[in-house]
Amino acid sequence: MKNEIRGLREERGWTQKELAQRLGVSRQTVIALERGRYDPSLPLAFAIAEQFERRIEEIFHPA
Amino acid sequence: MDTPDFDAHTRAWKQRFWLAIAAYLLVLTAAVFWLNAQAAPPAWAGGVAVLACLAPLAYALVSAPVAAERHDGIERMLLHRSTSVAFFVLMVSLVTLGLIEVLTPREPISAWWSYGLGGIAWAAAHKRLASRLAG
Repeated sequence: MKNEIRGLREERGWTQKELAQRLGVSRQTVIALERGRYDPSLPLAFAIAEQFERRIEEIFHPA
Repeated sequence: MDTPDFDAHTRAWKQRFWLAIAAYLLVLTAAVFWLNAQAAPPAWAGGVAVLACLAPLAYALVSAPVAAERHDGIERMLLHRSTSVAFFVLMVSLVTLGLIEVLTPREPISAWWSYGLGGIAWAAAHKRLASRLAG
């Protein structure tokens, strides 16, 4: 699944570590998410959407 | 939404894990000394020694997957996938070991080979998957 996480994070000037701390996950998880190698669970997808103040479908797109 | 500090949580469970492993080694050493000190250990002594060792070891082994389950992210996926690979390798090696023992007239092969293979398969699968996901 493709996503806009990297762009949204960089727009806000957050590091991967900072985003990881905000989400309560490891930095490796953020790296895997940004590379599109890991599809998050629904609770994590909601947490990401909440952090970026976007709707889930604005962040994640079917590959 | 609740977002616990991942690093602090990881440090906490690793501390619990290694304390439990230390307790296991301590109990195991005490059990070995106790069994060796008996002139003729009763039949139940071995069982009691194993049970005494089992409690801290079980705690140590369960604490890692429980900690991974509590946290969202790739760690949970890595745990599930590498455990699946290790279980498959362990089962296949145990069945093969059993068949060789049944079908060939030879000394029994140590089951440590299978346990070792299972452990190596878990570590290798975990490392490979981790580098593919976030390497």
